[in-house]
Amino acid sequence: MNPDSPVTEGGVANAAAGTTAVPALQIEEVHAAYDRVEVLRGVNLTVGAGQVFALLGPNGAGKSTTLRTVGGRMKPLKGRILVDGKDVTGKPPEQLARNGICSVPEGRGVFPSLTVAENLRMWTFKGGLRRSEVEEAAYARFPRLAERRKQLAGTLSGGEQQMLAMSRALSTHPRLLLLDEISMGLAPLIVAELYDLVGQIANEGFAILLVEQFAATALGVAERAAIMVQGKIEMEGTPDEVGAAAGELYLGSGAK
Amino acid sequence: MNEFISLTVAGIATYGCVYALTAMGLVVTYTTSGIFNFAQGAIGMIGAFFFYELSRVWHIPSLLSLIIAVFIFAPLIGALLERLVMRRLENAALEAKLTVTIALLLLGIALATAIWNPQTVRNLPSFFNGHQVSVGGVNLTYQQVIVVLAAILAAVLLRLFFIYTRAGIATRAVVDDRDLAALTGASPARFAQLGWAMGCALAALAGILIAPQNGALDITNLTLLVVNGYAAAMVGRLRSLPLTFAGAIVLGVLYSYALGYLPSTLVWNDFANITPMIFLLLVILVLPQSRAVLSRRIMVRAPRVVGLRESLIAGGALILAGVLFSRLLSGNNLSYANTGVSLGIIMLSLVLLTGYGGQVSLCQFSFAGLGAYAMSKVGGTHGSLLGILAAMGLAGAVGGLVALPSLRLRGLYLALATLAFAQGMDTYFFGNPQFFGVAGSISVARPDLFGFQLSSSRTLLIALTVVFALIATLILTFRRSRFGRRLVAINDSPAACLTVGVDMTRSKLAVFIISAAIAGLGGALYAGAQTQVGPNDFQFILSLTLLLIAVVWGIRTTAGMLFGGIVFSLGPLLGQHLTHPRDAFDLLVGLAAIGVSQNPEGTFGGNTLLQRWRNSREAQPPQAAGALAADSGEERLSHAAG
Ligand SMILES: Nc1ncnc2c1ncn2[C@@H]1O[C@H](COP(=O)(O)OP(=O)(O)OP(=O)(O)O)[C@@H](O)[C@H]1O
Ligand SMILES: [Mg+2]
Repeated sequence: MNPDSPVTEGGVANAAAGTTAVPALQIEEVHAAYDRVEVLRGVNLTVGAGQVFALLGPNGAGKSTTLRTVGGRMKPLKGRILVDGKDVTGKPPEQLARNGICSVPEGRGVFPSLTVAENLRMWTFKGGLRRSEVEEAAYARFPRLAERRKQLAGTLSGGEQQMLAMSRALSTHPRLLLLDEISMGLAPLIVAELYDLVGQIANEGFAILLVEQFAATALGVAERAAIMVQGKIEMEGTPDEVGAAAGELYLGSGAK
Repeated sequence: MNEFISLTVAGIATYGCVYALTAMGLVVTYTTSGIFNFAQGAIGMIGAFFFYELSRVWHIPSLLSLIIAVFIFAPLIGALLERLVMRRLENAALEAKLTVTIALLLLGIALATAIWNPQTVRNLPSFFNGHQVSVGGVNLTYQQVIVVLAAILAAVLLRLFFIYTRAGIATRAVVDDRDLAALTGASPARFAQLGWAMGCALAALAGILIAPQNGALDITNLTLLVVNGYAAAMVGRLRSLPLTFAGAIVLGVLYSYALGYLPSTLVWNDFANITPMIFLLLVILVLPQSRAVLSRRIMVRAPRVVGLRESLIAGGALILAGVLFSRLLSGNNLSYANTGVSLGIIMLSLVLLTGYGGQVSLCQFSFAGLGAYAMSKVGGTHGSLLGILAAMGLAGAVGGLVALPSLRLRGLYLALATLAFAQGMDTYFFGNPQFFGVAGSISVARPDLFGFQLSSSRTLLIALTVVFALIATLILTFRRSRFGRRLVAINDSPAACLTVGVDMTRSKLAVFIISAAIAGLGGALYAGAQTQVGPNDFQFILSLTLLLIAVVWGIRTTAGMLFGGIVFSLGPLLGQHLTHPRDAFDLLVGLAAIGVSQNPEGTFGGNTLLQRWRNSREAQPPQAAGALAADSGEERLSHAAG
């Protein structure tokens, strides 16, 4: 895998989403279960190169599980997962991470007992990137983090923690970004700020699969969207179509 | 005053710093892999012997030998252990993790005995031949100076490593949040491996440094010396290196004072020797519990619950088998069977306590010994029923006393507290002529149940199978009861139970007492089967072996306990056919435990052929998930709450 390719590819695909360029992510008929309780029941989903894809759905639908499966933290029972056309089903998460699949998991994307600087240092693992580059990029984007570089990440506010988590997303040049409810528990203003950032990343050409409860915010930056209900994709379409259907499909939760 | 200073210096330089090295090693392995390495002592011991081999037999210069032993040999062992054994235990229950390292301890001792014949006297000279320097009026041997320097250097290097290097930061990150670390591309397994390598290197260094200070190299002594470091690691709550270091120094100094100041009568001498264990007990009981590490264990599968019909059929079959074998067997074989079934009864106490309740006890044989003692005192020459009741009562009562202060302890800490208790019992009860006679043995009558004299070994076997079947059925019935479901629920998620208001303390106490009483009953019957028992029959090391065998055979199953007990009783049989019976037994046990790492649920639990066959018969479409979930957490909690 060539770590540089997504940037260029993304640029092209952005201009013409939905053309024949190799999709960034293909999820084919994936089943996954906790213990013997099946949670994903045949998920099919395609994120085009450089596309921002919003995955919505009620609580417990399996959205986080989908991201977990793509990130390698869970092994699917059945089905295939392809990234840039390459089959990565069942690969361990650390290997996927080193190959540019970057996850910001639900709730906590930071190491609480490491300082901000140390947290950023953890994310230089991908190789290639210099420690100073990562820190500079993060601090340039979020001056607030620079002030707190010696503070333990666990003592940051929720918004600051999310900024820290996003900094990594920005600095490792991932080929695929998986964002799970980055708005959870945050004030609307911060959410708007974070989504500005998502928009920026999108413009830089990365493919993003984002999971959200706030349908409106997520649909605002997305190029394509889908609704998941009980472990299956219930409908897929443009943000407008999905936004219109969301209210019916999962009674009002967040669809403004 | 002078004595005080020299004892203090000895405490710091001879013991404290060595404890610090080994305890820091424990902390590093525990934080990176979540496994408390009981075998740390054995690894230190092997390191010392290996160093002896290099420097005294192959005549490699001391420094080079040291480097080879500490920086190549020991880390290699650690890395290998992690790769082959520990990695598979990540989601295993605590008792499986403990068992595997306990087995490694036994295995290490067995291997060392096989390689380095204990009859040969091996002396390691001190470094620089015991030359001394005077620091501020206190004489220090070069050896002591080296020990202190090594400990400080190791502590400083570890600190620098964890704070300034990327690998060190990543290691802490893995400790913080394993999953997230993997998501950033750091492989948790690799850092666990690094942790094991470092832990073993530190153990070896400790072993090599302490070896010359205790006369000729001795396998057991060296192992135990390193084991004393456990207590120091507890001071650091198995997390903090600086606290661990401080704890080690305090422990070393206390130990040194105890050796120097306590009168050298037998009783006090014993006391001095178990200071580290007493210290361990105090530290565990007094220091606040670490941040709730609520079971990281993911419920892999809800253990199958055996129905009443099934357990009655199995019990009946067992009694039939008892009748049959009481006719077929004779002589020694009959007594092996009797010992085996009574050991099985002792092991049943673990099913309840550990298998269902998740509390690991390393002192079940102490309870068994108490039962045997009560039976011998109260049961009289005919073994009255009163004796049996006294056995259960005494063991249960002491069990309650042990459990009371330990109830707030979780998992590993409880296990270590019971270990300390068992060591105390070894020294002060079983080893005490007042209780176990000057000859060191008591005779215990076989029980006389409702007029049935069980003095014949044949009737005894039948009676034992009846008792086993009865207790096993009771335990399985209990498992299905509301209380039983509550117990398993507590084991699964203490936090969830707190929130739904299940009273954990009372349940845990009750289980501990019942389990101790079962062990006491088993002990009385075991002693009766042997008719004569001595202190060696109840040593704490046997409690470790008991747990080990129970886990190997499946600690959540009652059938496993029967087979485990019989295998346990057959141990001495090896002696008739082999020249090194103990080694062979330990070796077997060691290998079996490596098997545990492959299948932590044990032979009769989990992934057996039988189970797979059952599963395939029961195979339901996963959509019927609701029915399957009926026995998993939430449902149980709602029962427990109701
Ligand atoms: N570790 C786990 N063990 C067992 N079941 C789980 C686990 N994690 C999630 N589940 C179950 O899987 C189902 C899907 O969970 P998931 O977290 O994927 O939902 P989600 O769509 O992300 O919901 P939310 O919007 O609330 O985050 C839920 O029913 C949940 O109870
Ligand atoms: Mg979720």
